[in-house]
Parts: sequence; C-alpha cells; structure tokens
Amino acid sequence: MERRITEEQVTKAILNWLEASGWEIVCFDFPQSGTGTSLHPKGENSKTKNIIIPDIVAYKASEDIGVFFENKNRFYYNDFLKIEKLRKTTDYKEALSKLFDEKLPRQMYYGIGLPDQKLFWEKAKQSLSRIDFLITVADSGFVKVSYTVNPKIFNGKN
Amino acid sequence: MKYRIWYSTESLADYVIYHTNLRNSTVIKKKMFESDANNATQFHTMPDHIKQILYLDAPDIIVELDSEPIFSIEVSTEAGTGHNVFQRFGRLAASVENNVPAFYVYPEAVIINRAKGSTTKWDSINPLVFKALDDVMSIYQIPALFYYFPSDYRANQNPINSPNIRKKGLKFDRNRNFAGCPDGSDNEMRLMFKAINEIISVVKISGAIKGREKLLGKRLFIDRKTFMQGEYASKGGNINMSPLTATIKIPTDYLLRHLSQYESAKYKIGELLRSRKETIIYKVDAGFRGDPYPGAIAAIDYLLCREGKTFEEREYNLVMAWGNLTVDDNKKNLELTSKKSTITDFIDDVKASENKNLLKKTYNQIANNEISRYYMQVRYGSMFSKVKHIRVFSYFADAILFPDGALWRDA
Repeated sequence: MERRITEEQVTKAILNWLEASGWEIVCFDFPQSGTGTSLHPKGENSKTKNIIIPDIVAYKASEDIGVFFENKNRFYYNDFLKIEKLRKTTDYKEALSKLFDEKLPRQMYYGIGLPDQKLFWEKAKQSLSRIDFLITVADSGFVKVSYTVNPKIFNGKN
Repeated sequence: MKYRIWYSTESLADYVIYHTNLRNSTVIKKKMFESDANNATQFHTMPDHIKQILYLDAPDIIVELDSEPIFSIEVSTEAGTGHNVFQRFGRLAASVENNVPAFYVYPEAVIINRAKGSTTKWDSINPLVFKALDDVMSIYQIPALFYYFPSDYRANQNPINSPNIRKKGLKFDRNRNFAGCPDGSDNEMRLMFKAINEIISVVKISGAIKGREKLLGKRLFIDRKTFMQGEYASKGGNINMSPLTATIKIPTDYLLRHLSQYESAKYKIGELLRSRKETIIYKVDAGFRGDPYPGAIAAIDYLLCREGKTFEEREYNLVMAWGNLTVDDNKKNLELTSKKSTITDFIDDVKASENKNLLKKTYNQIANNEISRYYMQVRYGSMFSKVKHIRVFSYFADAILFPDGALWRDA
C-alpha cells in the first residue's frame, strides 16, 4: 500500500520551509502534539465549543504580515470553509491578535497545507476562491506554493 | 535484536531514538492505531501483544524488543490541577497492567490565562499523582516513573516573566524534527533518557521479562522513586486531594441492599462484591462522559483499592456512581439522583460501538479487506471496538450505578 505523507509531516515540512524563509513561528499544532493554541470566537469562553486550533501561525516582521495554516494529509473541504470564514468574518480576530501581543499584523493571509498529490489538487482547484494560498508538500519534503492570491506573500516584498 | 517503536506522533519516536541508545540499534518505526473504535480499518493489523496494551488506552510511545514491549511513554502538556493530572492515567495503566514499565511526562505547572478576572497564573500539578505512581510500583514491581515536562516555572514564579509565556510557560525542543517534544537538553529529560538507557541495557542482558523485574532494584530507579516521594511531600501531597475527595467508603452491605432491587427468586448478586467488607464509591455528579473520569478511576483503584495485579485482588470494591449520592446510615442504603446522567447514556455508547462491528454479517457481505478484522472480532468480540471510556469503566469498576439502573460483576 502506498504510504501517504501524514499531517504531522506536512506541518513539519512547512514549519522548516517558513523558518528558512525568515518567518517567525508563532504557534503550531498537529495531531497528538499537545502544542496547540486555542482560539475562541469573540464573546465565547467555552473550553471546546467553536474553538479553532491553528496548525501554523507565522509572522514576518520585516513586512508585518502573518499567515494562518490549516493542514491535512488529504483534501478536506471543511477546512476550506473554515479558512473562508476566517477571511471574511471578524469572529476570531480578537483571539488571533492575542497571538501577536494584541496587535494583528498589517495583513493576515489564510490558507491550506496539503500533500502534493494530483487528486487533491484537482479537488482543491474548485475551492481556491475560498483561500489566500495553497501550499503543498511532496513525499520528499519539498514544499511548493501551488496557489496564492498574492505571489509576494512567500516571495518577499508585499 | 530487533527494536520496534510504536508511535502516535512520529516526532516523539524520532526524539526518543535520537536521545537514547536506541540510536545505535536498528529501530523500525510503526504508526500506532489506537483502537478498533477509532481506527476500524487499521487496528486489527497491530500485533496481539500491542493490542493487549491498547485495550485500555494508548500511550504516546511503546518500544518493544523482539516483540516484547520494554517501556512506554506518555507525554502531556496540560495543566495538571485536580482531576486533570489523572486524565492520561489510563494510558499509564494500560502499560503497567501488562507489566510494561511506563514513563509519565507532565508539566510541574502551566501558565493559564483566565478571561474571567483577566488573570494569568501558573496552574500547578496535583501532587497526588506521585503517590498514585508509587502505589503502582508497589503493586506491579516495575517502574512507573514521573518526569517534569520542562518549563519556566521554577525560574520564573511570576508567569508574566516567563520567556515561553506564549507556549504556556513550557520549554519545547527547538529541533523542528522533534516538534512538540519536551526540550531534550533539560535535566529532567536527560534523566529520563538515562533511565531508558538503563532499561535497554538490562533487557539486553537479562531479556525483557526477567529484566523488567530487576529494574526497581537499580540505583537510578531507586533515586527517582525517592525524588517522586520528595515531590509528594514538599508539595503538600495528602490523600484528601482530588479525585479522592470525590470518593466515599461504605459498608458493602449498603451497596448490596441498593442492588437487591435487581434480585429475584431466580437471581442473587454474585460472590465478588460480597467478598469485600467495604466498598469505595467514586461519585461523579456530571453528565455521563469520558475524560477525565477514565484516568481518575484507574488512579483511585491504585490509590485506595488494589493490593494485587488484577482487579480481583482488591481490598475494597470499586464502584462508580453517576449522580448525587446520599448514604443513609439509618436505612443502611444508598440513594442516587441525577438530572445529568442515566443508564441509557451508557447503553447508547455501547450500542453505538456495537453498530460498527462485523459479526452479524454473512461471509458474502464481508469485503476482503475486512476479513482479518472480522476474524479478530470473532476471537475478541467487541473487546477493542467499544469507545475508550466504556472499556476503562467496565475494566476498573466492579459496579456502575445510575439513578435508573446499574451494572455489576458477579465474579
């Protein structure tokens, strides 16, 4: 049976790639890691209800921009909906700003990390309008920007 | 000699291999599938001796030598106040119940921000965990050792000054390959690696089964036990702490009187409950659910009831009561009321697990990739396919009481 790259491997590969490109990792999480930071929607304090645990939040101080990742080991449509909600509403802005010492970066981008597989790309293509970027990770660990609304996010000056 | 390391997170497997003498050996890493309940397509592929450990709960890591488990590790980053420190105790129980040495890594304290009152403080560990582990070692005569997850707690009593305040004051390893793992350069972790190396060395010479029995006589393990006993004392540990504050000891006659409502001319409650004069009742006045109660009942067993390696060897019956329990000493009986829990909650969870089983299918209905799982279920029934809290409660509790029903063992 083909060994599929895991969500843990996707996240670790993207963490390494971001750090090598000058990003500061604000927080990260993958299954069973115990490292997650919970974001509560505005006005809610429940321990579990409606919380979001970002898979990666990173910050580039030189450009004052932040990125938010949801990662998976497969295409998962609900993650695209989650990212769309984060982009279009302010529900989690307050919680997110706490990660940045109460001041959100000048620009936040929200996207998805997935294994680099043709099948996933075919499915993701239908939903690209919901996200700011799609980062894919090959079995070798090679990380690629498969889609972005702004090529400058991961390539320097915004 | 062939080592295999079963993992929930690959980072932790890599971390343990890198920091211990396992790095000098051939080690095969294998993903652990925790139960038939949550990994129906994979769990049956696990070796039988690993399944037996996973029956109760899944530690983060199990290391085996030539198909014999030699130790397990459970790592938590949660705040260990009250019941919470015992939340993962079932994972440790899973290991020691199979005579496998266990390591429990837990923070001494974690920084918690409370929106209410806008307070930021260290939530420190419930020291009763040290006594629970000490009792486990007395019962099983194998190591069940505690190590602190590295944190800024001792150096920065004021949490605001913690350099790792964003990470709840915890010190994680900086090597991304070990993402999420405790800082491997910390003294506590170095001591744990030494203990692991000692286990590897002893089982290499004496074999896994005889080697395990020798471990507690080794200086390194004696010293760690002494450290744990010291932490229990210095942190004010005593037996009036959670979850023991939620227990009550009653004459078993009261329990039997309560259960007599289920007796008839044809049926009498069996010998097991009657064989113990007194009974410990764990009172849970909450909606029926899992965490943190499965770990807590395991800890209560070791702290109050057990005097041998199996649940049959108990000084006291161990009973779980879901609801508001009143003991009526005049009537020598129990009264249990609740608006939160009912026996139906338990039964529904059992039924939901049972629905995933294959045993009612005809051969033609079983896909080829399901045959091995079917055959496992033929042998073990639904032993591995019930959800964790049902497995753990029914393993540890001699009886479970609800306001509108009860379950108990006859023998």
